[in-house]
Amino acid sequence: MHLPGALGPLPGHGYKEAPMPVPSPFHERTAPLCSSGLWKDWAGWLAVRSFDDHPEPEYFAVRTACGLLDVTPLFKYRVRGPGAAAFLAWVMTRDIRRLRPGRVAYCTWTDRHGKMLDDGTVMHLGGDQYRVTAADPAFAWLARSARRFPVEIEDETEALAALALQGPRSREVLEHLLQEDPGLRFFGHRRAVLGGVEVEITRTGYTGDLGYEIWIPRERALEVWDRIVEAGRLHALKPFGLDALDVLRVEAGFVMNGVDYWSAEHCLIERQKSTPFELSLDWTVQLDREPFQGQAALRAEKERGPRLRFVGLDIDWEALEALYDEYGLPAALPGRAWRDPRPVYGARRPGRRNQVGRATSGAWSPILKRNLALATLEAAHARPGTRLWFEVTVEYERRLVPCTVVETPFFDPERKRT
Amino acid sequence: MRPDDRSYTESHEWARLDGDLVTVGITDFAVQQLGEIVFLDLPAAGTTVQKGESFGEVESVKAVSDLYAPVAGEIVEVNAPLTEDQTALQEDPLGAGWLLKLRVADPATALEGLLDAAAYERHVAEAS
Repeated sequence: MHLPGALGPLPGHGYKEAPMPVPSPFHERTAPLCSSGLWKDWAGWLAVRSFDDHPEPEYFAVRTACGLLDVTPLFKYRVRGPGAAAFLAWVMTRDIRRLRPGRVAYCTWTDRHGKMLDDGTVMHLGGDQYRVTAADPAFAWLARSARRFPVEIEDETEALAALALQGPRSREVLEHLLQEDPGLRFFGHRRAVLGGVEVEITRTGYTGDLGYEIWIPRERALEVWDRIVEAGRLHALKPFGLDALDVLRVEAGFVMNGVDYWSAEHCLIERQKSTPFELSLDWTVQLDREPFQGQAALRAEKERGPRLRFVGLDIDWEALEALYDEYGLPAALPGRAWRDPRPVYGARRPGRRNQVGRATSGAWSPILKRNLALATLEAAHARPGTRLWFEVTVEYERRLVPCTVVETPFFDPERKRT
Repeated sequence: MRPDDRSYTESHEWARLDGDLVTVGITDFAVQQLGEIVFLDLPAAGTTVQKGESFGEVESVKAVSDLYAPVAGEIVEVNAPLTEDQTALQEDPLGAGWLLKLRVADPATALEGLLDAAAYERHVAEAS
């Protein structure tokens, strides 16, 4: 008797709905180094969580020397044509018409109700050429929004491999490879020949440190990886994975789509949606200009003031230690960043459990020696210095530890910008 | 408190009168809000600007902003090195980071309608 599904998924189901992640163009190099066997599915690509069992050495490489991360899974779209600038100014909350060639803008984009769809970057590649990078697939949405603009949109996610070279010594590694100062200011873009391969370099990243991202034709990916690793030997370069990145981005205070907020396209109900103001990304919204998607809703929200704000929390270490001590345990710290949401309660009557928001991700910061979280709180409770209560579960019991609202980024070195 | 030897605008420029010349810059609050400044565009000396007219733009990682003339006049000097290197603007916007010097027609009334330091202070408190 043949049992459909017993030996594999049904045709037209299984593989199509949950395809196996595919190896990235760097897989030949990353796989032999990944002694931990810790992989995850990043947007359909096989991505290293950490090369060794614990991500901390990779984390420290990025904060004290430099690290190399495969970021090929970022979605990448080329937008070109005489209407490209006007089109991007229409879909993005920032006025892309004012983005000069050779510059990159961090952007948010929303639906017509001003609800977050995604965040990412727009690069002005020169002439009427732009690139959009995104966490979620955006082709259908871009194409739908582009109908009245003379533009072409091309999905270059597969054609373009990408590496993030991040950390205080990343400039020296690039200088060594290019035989000149990379000469890029924060959020700048340039073309370069790296080890005989024509690449693009941007001074961007998701670590909150000095760093670059390198955009490489897929078929030349391994050559570029090899040249960077070779040049990096003199600079203590270490390949790193997503677990280290998770800690780095919490320290940098960066929001993550699918963790700290959800794209309106994936939300089942209204209250699951967010706005750029609720994510404290006010500076990415330029209201006073020609119409853009979500403008009216965002203007109205700005006038009445956002209901929620995105903030940092510093969780009291001594209180956490005292709490665990009640159970005869040492304070437990997660070895990795966490992203299971936890309730946050108001300061006045902790016993009454007056919830004022949720912490959506957090990490112990090895370099700051602080227990950090990123949280979405009711605006009235989101002022820096506000004392709140953070829920922890100890021995299956829900307990509260005090925490303080603090400004992000938690970690913000001068070298990131200069 | 910011220096009271000059006047301010709601769009965060400052203007200081000296004889018939007005030195123009942007405030430390503006610089702080902009973040890392990466580009500055200033007009050439000899150009005439009207009060409230955009005379250039400043770009940071966060935004591109127009610069508005707080007074009308003829531009007689431009802090040209700033267009190459914005460090002075970033670090000392009320001093070495000045942008322009304008010759005004009537020094006695040139700064009329602008904010004094105390009024600007209140404006900043509301904006932040």
